[in-house]
Amino acid sequence: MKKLVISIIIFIILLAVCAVYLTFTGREINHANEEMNYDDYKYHFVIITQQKNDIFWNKVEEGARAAAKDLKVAIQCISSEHVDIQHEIDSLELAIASRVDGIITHVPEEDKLVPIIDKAVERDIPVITIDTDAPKSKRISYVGANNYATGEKAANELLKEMPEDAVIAIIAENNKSSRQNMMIQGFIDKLAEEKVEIKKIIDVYNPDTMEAMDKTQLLINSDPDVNILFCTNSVSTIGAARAIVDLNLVGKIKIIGFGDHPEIRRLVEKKVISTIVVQDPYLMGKLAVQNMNDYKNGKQISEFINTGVKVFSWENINAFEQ
Amino acid sequence: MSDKKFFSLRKKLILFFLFLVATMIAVSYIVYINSLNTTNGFIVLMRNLIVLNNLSDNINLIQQNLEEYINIKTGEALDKYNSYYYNLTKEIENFSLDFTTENEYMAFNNIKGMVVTYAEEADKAIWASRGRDAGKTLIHMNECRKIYGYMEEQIKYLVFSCLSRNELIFYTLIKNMSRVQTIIIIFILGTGVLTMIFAVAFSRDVTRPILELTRSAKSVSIGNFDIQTIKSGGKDEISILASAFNMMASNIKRLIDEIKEKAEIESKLRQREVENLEISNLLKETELRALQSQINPHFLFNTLSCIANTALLEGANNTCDLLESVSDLLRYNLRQIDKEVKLQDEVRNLNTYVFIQKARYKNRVNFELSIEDESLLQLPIPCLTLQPIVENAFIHGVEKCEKPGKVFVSVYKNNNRVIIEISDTGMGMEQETVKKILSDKDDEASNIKGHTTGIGIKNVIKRLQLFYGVNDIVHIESAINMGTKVILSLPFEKASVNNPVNSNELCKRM
Repeated sequence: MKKLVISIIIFIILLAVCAVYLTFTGREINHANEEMNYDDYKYHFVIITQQKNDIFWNKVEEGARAAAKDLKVAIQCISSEHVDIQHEIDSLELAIASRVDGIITHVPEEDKLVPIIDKAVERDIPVITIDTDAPKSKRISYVGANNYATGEKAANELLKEMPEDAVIAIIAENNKSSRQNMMIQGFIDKLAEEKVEIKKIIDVYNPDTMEAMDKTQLLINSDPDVNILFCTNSVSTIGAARAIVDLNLVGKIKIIGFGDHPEIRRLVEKKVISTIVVQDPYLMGKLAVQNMNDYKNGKQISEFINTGVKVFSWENINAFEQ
Repeated sequence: MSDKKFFSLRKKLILFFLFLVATMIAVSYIVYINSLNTTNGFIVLMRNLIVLNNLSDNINLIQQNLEEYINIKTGEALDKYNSYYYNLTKEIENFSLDFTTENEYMAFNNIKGMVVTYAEEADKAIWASRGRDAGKTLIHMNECRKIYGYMEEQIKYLVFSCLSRNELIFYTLIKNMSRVQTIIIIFILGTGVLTMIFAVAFSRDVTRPILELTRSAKSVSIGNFDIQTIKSGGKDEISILASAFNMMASNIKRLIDEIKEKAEIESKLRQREVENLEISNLLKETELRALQSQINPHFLFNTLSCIANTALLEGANNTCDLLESVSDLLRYNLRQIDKEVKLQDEVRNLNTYVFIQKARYKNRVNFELSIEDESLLQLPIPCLTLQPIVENAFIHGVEKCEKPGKVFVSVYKNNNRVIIEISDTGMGMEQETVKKILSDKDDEASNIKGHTTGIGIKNVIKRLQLFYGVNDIVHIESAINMGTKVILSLPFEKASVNNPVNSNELCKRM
């Protein structure tokens, strides 16, 4: 009889535990996001980025969301699956029609975007350009690195250890973004000062690791003299590096890369890539949102907000945080 | 009995049913809560989609009617446009979607903004079309179409977002449901198993002691009290019954044992009573015999004197004398023994005795009595003191000897004492026998009773000692085949007053 009583008590306890457990799990479904109340948010900003699932733009979004959370600002990140200028324009139009409080946008092609940016500003929607600038438009500010200076910095790094028989090629995106143009311009100008010529500029369509790799292999096969590669974005940097590894030319061909990616860092550590020039996308996103918020609150903001450029090579890659 | 709390069967049953009911309620409650959650989940799931679908339909209708108005310019279309637009704004005002991500919220906000922008552009288009400005109308209509497209896009985004979110909810719900089903099955099985266990345990608890009780009761009813005590674990009615039965059985057993014991004792008593009865019967018989043997002494004296007279009349003088002597002797002997007499009485009685003995032994005996001074015969003396000693002298000195014996009795005075010497020429005694007679000890050997009086020599000595208050009274000189001489040296005075009492007591003891 005693055993029975004990088993009954155990059963009741089990029952109670199960009941409580079930009651709470049931509630989880309905009340998971109760704490979020977007109506408290003061402003609604739209951020238009170049590409989804890109390490650079993910960082930008991350920084923007961090800032937005601090400032109690709602942000919407609109980006296309692949690089698509029309999508970016449509997104901008959508944001204007939606009467958001502010637009932070990447500028894929300045000429196409200027009228739309102007249209937004005309409708009292301030626009901040990020990463790439549209100086001709009525945008209120540009947040990003000085791309010309970035090119110059890359050239400087190259000039430090310039081989005598340097044959330089640039692997670039095919879309003529102002950032890339400015960067290449800065790079070329700096080298021109030292009377160094660029052998070739290779266009890579829709930055893609495989294509960059393929283009690099083709280049080296057709021009075996090339021993220095300057890559203008992270994807082409990885692609070029892989091609060098495949061709067993590590050490013979020097790569100057751009952008941040764990793979790039690994390659720098292995001395496949000699130098990388890194901008700070997180800071870009963060500063863009902060400045937009400041502007909406009636503060004066600077027209150019520099987020800086950093150079890393094998020696100091371990100091790279983030 | 009282170390455990009483836990009645009714309580047990009630508790169990309470437990059962509680379990059922709990299970039902869990099922209810879960179904509520599930239903809520599905309601949210469906409502979001329905709301978004309505929104999409409404926008679609607005666009259709606007196109119709611009193209065909019917007032009906404009009215419809206006009413649908009004509906749309209302709908958006009352819009209640559960946003889970910032993007969803933003998308909805975009739609909200775009509805306003759309209305502006539509107005402009309408005004332009009324102003017959085809170019401007087209521009604004294009704008409207674009915005319409964006709105549809945003709604699509929301629908997909909702669906993907709903998918999560859906799978969570499904998972939850299956989990709840498992738990409910476990509950039902557990309850079932526990109920069965309880039923079995309870029925066993109840029936086993009852079975034992009936078995014991049967065995008790046929008179067998050697039953085992019934064990009952719990503290319920059954256990009380069991313990009561146990007690009853043990009490009955004890009582029966007691009765048996009593019966035994009684039978023993009865046996003893029978024995006692037998003894008393014997006693009575003895008494009867004793009574039978008793003859009234007076009758005897009278008869004897009658015979004596008859003998005298018939001329048998000797016979007459003998009978008279016997009669006198008997009379003297039967008188009260505790009475004090004088020496002359004792001597006279002695002469009577000797006369009879002489008649018996004829010439075989020679008795001589010498008295120094007649005044000595006034000496007080206890009754029947001389006769037993002389009797002994006759028995041992004359009777047992072949040759003729002599018995001398002389009374004389010496040193303020009266000396009575009784001597015979018989077989004499050993010194040890003399010592035994003179010692104070009472034993059969030394206390030989006299033939006539039934009084032994020792008795005589003691009475004399008590009577005179002096110890050195008797002296015996004896040698084997030389005869015995008993010397009594008696003081003139008898002892103090209390002595006769002692002698009386002594006599009574005899």
